[in-house]
Amino acid sequence: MANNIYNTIRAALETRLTNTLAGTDIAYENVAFSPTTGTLFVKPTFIPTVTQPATRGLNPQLLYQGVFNVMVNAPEGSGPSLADTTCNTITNAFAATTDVSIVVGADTYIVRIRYAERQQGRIDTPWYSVPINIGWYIYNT
Amino acid sequence: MKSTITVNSSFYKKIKGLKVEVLGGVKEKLEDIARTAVSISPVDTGAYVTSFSYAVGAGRPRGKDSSNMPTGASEQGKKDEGYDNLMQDLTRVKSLEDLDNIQLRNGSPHADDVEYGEEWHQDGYFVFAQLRNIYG
Repeated sequence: MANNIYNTIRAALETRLTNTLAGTDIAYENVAFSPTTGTLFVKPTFIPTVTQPATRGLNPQLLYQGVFNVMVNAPEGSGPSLADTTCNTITNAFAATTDVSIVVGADTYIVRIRYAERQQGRIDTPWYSVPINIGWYIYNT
Repeated sequence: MKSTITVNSSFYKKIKGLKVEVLGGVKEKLEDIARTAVSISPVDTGAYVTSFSYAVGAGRPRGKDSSNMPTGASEQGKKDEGYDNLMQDLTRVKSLEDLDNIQLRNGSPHADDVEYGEEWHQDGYFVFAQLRNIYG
């Protein structure tokens, strides 16, 4: 199962994001996307960082952790409120200590959220972009 | 009423010894962070990876502009240079008090572009996001 765990983690996080932002354009990784000028969209990026044994001994359980970055892109010049509202929705859905579960076959996987941190916004013409970094981890064999 | 307590001088020696131990442990962790920072940084001109600083107290953080710098720099050479810069900064840390406010910074003008991508469709390298995740 270890070979597929990253697929499962990504699916869990992206599904939570999709359900949270129903109706919002989402530019998934490596999927063709053309933003509509003047319409907010978000761009998630899945970033695994560390895989390490959680215990000593033979065949230990593994700790997987990483970052799920969500870039909120609001139209430039429209003020901060649109991006703020979306950022708040996302950080609430991925608040620290939140469990994000997904069922794969007969197994339920729980991705735990360690933190959800909104960073400083910046102009990336024609967008006002605000990054949110969500720290996640999961124990798995 | 008044009482006087005398503290054995060996107590202070033990405290001093503990401070040295703790300082050494923290500096080792800062070295780990530095090693990771340069290893996950991209190298094109080398301006970014050589622009890391441990800001200890006053002083301007280093920052190099990649404009007009030749591309295709030696990746390992530039990463070694970036790591050496950070180790040099750490030589300024002499006591635990110096660690009250220490920051890892990257002062290159394009640091944000490296972190998040230059345009919306370009992926960034998320260097600081990864560091925060690993060591935060």
